[in-house]
Amino acid sequence: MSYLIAAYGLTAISLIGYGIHLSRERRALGRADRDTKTD
Amino acid sequence: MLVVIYTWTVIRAPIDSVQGIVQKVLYVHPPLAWGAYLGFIVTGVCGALYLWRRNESTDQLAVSGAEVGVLFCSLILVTGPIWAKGTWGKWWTWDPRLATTLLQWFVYLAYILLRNFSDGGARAARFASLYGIVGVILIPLNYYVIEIFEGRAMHPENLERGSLGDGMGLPFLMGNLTLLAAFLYLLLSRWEIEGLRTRVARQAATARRGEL
Repeated sequence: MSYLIAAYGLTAISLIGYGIHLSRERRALGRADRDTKTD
Repeated sequence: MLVVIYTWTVIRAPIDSVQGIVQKVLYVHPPLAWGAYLGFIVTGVCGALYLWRRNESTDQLAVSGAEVGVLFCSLILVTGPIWAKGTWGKWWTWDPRLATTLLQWFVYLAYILLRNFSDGGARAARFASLYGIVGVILIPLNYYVIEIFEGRAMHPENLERGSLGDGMGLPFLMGNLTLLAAFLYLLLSRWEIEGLRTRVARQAATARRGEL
């Protein structure tokens, strides 16, 4: 059972973690894009 | 919703009489492999398109495919040994499938390093495109390596129609659909970021030139 939890848990954490990282970066770049346009 | 149905079908899936509950890693491990293959195919195909049309957007998609593909390949290299420990009793063996998967991971990790440590110019993009096209050769090699080694491989053979037991088809299908959806979401997000990065860097460079 612990092997199963480890396999599914690590997969879920990695995919969700990467997704959160991407959405934060997208927001930051979107802000930077708008700022440079107004400047 | 997809994740809820997937989780439910995995919980409800029958327990294998030989391997026990650890066999349920089947519903995540091969779908991750499809994701890795898809990512590397995107890199190869977009690399070829970039060399042909010189469209910057296809090069950005190639980089995104490699990054998401490496993430999926890393997860194959994590879930595989977990399954191996539960069934074979050891985390790793130099089986041809395992060795070619590790090789594939290193090849695309090198691609990402190449893109991150190069100047980001057209010359680096052309070289990376060629590298990405050559790297695709590893996909059929990795897929058919068990048949090439004719029974000498420890890794089980590729799944075929009807090779899954009763009640195992639905969780396997849901695993494939869920991870395909995750792959597409991550790939498209990463592609958008790559485009934004280039645009912001260009705007910053133009602003610097204007100040001089």
